[in-house]
Amino acid sequence: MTDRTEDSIQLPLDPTRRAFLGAGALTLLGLATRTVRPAAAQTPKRGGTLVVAADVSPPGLDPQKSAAAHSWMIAEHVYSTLLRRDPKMNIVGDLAESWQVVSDTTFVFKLRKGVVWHHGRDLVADDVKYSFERMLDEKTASPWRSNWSIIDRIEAPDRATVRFVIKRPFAPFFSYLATPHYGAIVPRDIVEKNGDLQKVASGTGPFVLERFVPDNTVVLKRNPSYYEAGLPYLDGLEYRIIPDEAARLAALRAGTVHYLWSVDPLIDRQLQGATGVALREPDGYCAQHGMAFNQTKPPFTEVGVRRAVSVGINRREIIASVLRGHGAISTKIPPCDAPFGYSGDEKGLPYYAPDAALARRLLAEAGFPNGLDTTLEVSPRFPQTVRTGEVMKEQLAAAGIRVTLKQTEWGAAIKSFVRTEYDGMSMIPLVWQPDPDAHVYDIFHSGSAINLGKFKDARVDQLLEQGRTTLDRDKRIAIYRDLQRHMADQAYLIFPYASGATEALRDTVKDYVSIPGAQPGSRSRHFFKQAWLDR
Amino acid sequence: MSDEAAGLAGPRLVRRALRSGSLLAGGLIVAGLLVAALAAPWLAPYAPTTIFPGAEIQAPGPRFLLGTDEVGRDILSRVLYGSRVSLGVAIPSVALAVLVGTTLGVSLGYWGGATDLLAMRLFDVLFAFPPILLAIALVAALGPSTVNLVLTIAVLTLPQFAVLARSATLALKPQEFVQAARALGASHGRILGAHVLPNLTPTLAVQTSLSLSIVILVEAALSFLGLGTQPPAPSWGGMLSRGRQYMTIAPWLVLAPGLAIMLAVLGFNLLGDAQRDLLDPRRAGAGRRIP
Amino acid sequence: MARPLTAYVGKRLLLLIPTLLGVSVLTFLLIHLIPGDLVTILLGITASQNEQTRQALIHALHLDRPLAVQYLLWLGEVVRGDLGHSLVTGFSVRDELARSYPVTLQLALMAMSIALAVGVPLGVLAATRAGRALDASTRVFSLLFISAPAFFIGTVVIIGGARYAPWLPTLGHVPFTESPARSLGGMLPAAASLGMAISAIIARFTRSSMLEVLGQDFVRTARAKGVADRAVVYKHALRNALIPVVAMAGTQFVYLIGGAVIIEEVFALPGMGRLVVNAIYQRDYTMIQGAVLLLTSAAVLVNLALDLLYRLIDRRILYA
Repeated sequence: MTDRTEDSIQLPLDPTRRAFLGAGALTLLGLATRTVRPAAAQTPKRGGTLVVAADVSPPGLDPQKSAAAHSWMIAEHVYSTLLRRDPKMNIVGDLAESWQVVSDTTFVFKLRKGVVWHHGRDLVADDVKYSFERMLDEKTASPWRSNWSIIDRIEAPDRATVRFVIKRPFAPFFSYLATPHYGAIVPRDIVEKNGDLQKVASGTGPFVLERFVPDNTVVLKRNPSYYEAGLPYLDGLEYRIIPDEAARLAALRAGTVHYLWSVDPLIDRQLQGATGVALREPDGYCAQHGMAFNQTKPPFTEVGVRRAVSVGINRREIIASVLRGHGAISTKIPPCDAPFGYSGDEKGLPYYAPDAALARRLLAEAGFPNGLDTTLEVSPRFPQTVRTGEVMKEQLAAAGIRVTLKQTEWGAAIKSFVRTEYDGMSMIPLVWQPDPDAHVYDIFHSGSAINLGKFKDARVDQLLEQGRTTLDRDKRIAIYRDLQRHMADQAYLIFPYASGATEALRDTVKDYVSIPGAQPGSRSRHFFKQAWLDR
Repeated sequence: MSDEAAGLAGPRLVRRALRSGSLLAGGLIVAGLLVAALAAPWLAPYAPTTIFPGAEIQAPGPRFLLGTDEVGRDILSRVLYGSRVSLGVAIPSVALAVLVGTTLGVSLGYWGGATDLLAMRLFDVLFAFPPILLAIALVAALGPSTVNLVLTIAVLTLPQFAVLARSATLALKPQEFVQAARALGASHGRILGAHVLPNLTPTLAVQTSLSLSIVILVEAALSFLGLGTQPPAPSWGGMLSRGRQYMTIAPWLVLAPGLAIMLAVLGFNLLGDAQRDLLDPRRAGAGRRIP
Repeated sequence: MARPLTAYVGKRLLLLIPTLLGVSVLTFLLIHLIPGDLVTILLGITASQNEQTRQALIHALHLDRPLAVQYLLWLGEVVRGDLGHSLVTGFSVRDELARSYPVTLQLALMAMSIALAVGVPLGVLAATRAGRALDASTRVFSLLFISAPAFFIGTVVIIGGARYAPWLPTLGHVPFTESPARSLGGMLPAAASLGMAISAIIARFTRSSMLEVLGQDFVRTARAKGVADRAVVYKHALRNALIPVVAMAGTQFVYLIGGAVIIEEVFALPGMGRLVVNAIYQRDYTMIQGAVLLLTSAAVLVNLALDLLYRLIDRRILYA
């Protein structure tokens, strides 16, 4: 596990860089067209279809309608965005060859020339305008509508220029533009002809959708008119839907699939002795588990009780037992988003160091001298969550907190978690977000319908508002670290760890790159765009 | 009592029973299972849910006689306690199915009428509905607890008993001894208790044993889908399902629970066979659908 | 006696309609009883918090109307031949069923064929050589396959295949219309895993049924009359023994056409079993309703066909 450096996330809204950006169109041009390829030891060979073993069938391919990660992993190879992230997580241009920050609320993007849709016609500025208006349209019922509600209007003064005017300064704006499923640019004519893009697709990305058979397979073919010269090397990508993990592993061993991912900590043992297969550990841990307390009624209305739970568990032990060491201590903003997130150690985070004696004292002070009984809701759909709950249960017993695990079917569990309808505590896996604000705003803000636990803290609200409107990067980092310290001090939510998935590839797959901040199903398009098969 | 029934009881039966290999084998296995279930706390070297960190997927050895699973728990202990889980689900659910199903079937067969017609259509529907889907829907609706599991399996199993009881009752109704008893003024209750049920018993006994063996497999199937007994409780089906991934590097993960399941199913099947041979020599086998 | 037969068939087919109505109402109520919010599942945590987004989706899916109205809206569409669209993906329910049902049907037919082809001869042989080596080994074989759960057999086949025969396609599915040979060949491991388990049941059943028949009076009489042994076995006994076997195989087949979910999952077959299971997990009400209609109709029709077959065999026995 490598720690992220300070330079990893660079938001171009940093004012010290503004001048650079405004005048540096040429440099950005260079950035946008240079294909990011790690130093290749061999010359890439063309051809071949890379087969990915997917566990779940995408419920539709429309990035603007589907909130399922499995839809995005297809969409990000088929569609392009205005901006994207490079392997170091910097935001660079994709469809935008340059951009200008006219003011805190006005941005002008110049589209690159020569971009052609899969169905033949040229990309024009109106396509970009349409894409965002479609998401803002109520009738589309897009999950991303609220993300973009900050947009006041979009103008397309000419074929190659798009102007965004937003209502207020909004720090996450460029991060969102660089997120494949939030910012995918889609063609109006294809949408209008088919109603939606669930089963058909036409984008400007490196791969063209050839066939989608639900529950079976998604076949993508190389885009011969892709704007990054020479790419992709592969003839095609195929996502084979194989629900059973044992079957996926067997297929990888046999060589009928080239790539899969797994959250099983014993994956290395499973692939022991398999020839031609290599494992990749995640470069950073980005997926978290979140445990919320129902704070509408006792006992978790008492900060002392919540703190007791926080010191009652032993995060390192959980990581060792459940994840076999493949994890890191975390707050809601995971270590892979350092410096916004704490990079893996518990220094400076109150109530993170395990201390059963302190837990008992806190409980006694809060009025529970004999400990207390409570429930923890988990869903067997994610065995890792259940395992984590089991270990926590054993740890908390020593602190005087007697936990009963309540296993709930996923559909019911997620609803109960989001609306704080459970008794006691509830824990589910959480998804990585492209911006610190997206990580915390909706679930911490007292005015939000999905505040996890229904707590109200004026200081938290204040920090959240500041975080999303402060454009200075260093100030922003300080705000979010402050927020996380405060959250830990009040123990509003418990984050036992940040984890990641291990990838397994056949040796024949070369130049595969994935962005450390991503996770299975939501990786960036560096994924297979520049990969090739050594056949 | 009818001639048929008379020939099936008494010393002749006992002699035949003692010579039946199936009965002996089946009986021994089932007895063994019951012993394992009842005496698990004394037989098992460890508790079934105790985790030994760092000892994941260890081969059988002096410390862990059957090895450890992917979480670091002793397999032997889990298999022994697993008999409690499997039998603890199988026996109550089949018992419930037999009780409710037989009562229902006998009532329908005996009194017939419009209720019978409606019920037969309902059973048609129930048989038409894929059992796995019904199980999933019920478990999703009720929640994955052992009680709900027992209820779900009972609901899935009782139609067979109802149909069996009904057709047997229908076959008996027109027979002479029943007509005679009615003519003599015997109450319905007496007829049912003294005539119908004893004739039903052999068929029911066979079907019960077979159902027990099927239910063990149903629980395993539900565990595969994540709907059976919930972790960390040791369920053979769950152990088998989770151990499959490691089959090539650690076959003991699947051999132990797999053999346990096979033994249980074998035992109940043998018992069912023996019962059929001894008690029911002239009837066609269980599971026959009578239109 | 053709007229009573057609009347019987006609009556049964007519009964299909109230059966379907009843099933659909029951299903509708059952799935709405299952807790869990479709909208939260669809939108995910982050998006489902925005009230406007939620309401837009709820309205688009008609979820803001009373239950009875939702049911009637759906019923109205069905009567017009429209099974509606998936609430999760927006795909047409009819298209999804048309895509997945043939896969399940193909699996059922292949598995049943294997089961009968292996099970019946084995059962007959075991019965005629009762008490000898073949009988004992058949019993062992059947007990083995009956007591091993299908997903276990399936995994052994897949892992074994990957290890020793990586060229053998075990996972996924090629539609029959695309390439019959590859379609049948590719599904063979799955059908065999399923079929062997059923063949074991059929073998045991055939054996016991044969034994009963062989012990009956008319068989002894025929033997006494001196008819050649083989003729006795095959002509009279087999036909009589077949009746319950047909009934038993029929019940198995009805179960199979409901979608052998587990085999479909393990072998990555895009069949109806998986479709419905996922629909239940995702609370895809329209998909569940449509699938249940199809499955119920299929089951009732297959039962009817089996009944007719049963009567056909039965009548010939009676008059033999």
